[in-house]
Amino acid sequence: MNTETDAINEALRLDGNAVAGELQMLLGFDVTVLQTTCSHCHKEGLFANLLAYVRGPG
Amino acid sequence: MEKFQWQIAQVKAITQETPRVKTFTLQLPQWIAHVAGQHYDLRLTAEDGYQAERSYSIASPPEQTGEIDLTVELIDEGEVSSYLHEGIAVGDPLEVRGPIGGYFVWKDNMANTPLLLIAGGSGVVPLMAMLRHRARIGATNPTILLFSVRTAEETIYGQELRQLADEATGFTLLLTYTRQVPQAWTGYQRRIDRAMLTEVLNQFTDKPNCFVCGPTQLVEQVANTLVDLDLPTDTIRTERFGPTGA
Repeated sequence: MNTETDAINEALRLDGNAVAGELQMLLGFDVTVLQTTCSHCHKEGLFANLLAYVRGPG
Repeated sequence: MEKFQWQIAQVKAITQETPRVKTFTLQLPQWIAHVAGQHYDLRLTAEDGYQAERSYSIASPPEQTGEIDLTVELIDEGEVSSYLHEGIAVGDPLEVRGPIGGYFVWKDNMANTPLLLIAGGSGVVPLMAMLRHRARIGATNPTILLFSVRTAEETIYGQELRQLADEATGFTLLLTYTRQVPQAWTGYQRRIDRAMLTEVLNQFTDKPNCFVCGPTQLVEQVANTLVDLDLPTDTIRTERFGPTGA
């Protein structure tokens, strides 16, 4: 990683809102208000606040 | 509940908001009343079957029935936004699905609580739906929009926002210009920072519900600062728009 790619990755970072349509299509309900718990640090939050990287390279 | 599926909308009108931003008014065969702040997904399909999909916030209030306004910023080399800006005309079909999202929404039961809206650039779009809906339901809760724009020319919905602010319904518009400051401007002229957020929060007597939307870096910095300034995390809602235009 270098500073330039870090900046690009940061700018492209989205959140759970961005994948809500796809998941609603698959699951049949809105996921953005689901409670989440980090399996590593146990921090609790909402699905909408999870970070999402949805664009591949290029 | 109606089935969540793709549908073919028809472009009813195209409005140039700023040099790089257009609003597409879409007529929907299966219109569903949305909640201000929600978005639609839009999908383009090329002749060879290649598909590209993006999410766009709804700018219109739910009172505007049968259609939605999607306001789209032209992103350099953005395959969807550039096609919408350059290849779409009134009458064309567009494939969309929605409304989507139950988190970044301003619900009617929030109408009596102070409201702080913070936007960078096209992040103002879902917040505009909230302000338009707020006006339609006659809410008078103390409301501030802190809107970071590069130049006066790039202020999306500038005229309408100033009109809303003039209506004395408890709504205050605070613009901050980050690149080119209009002559005789005495307001903010820098990126949103801690001192600015402190001043804005001091204008509220009670803690507001906060909605923050715009470029990812702006959203994260603002949200972190609001938490630092002792706002409860469950009153701060964020939506990252990713990169924005030049």
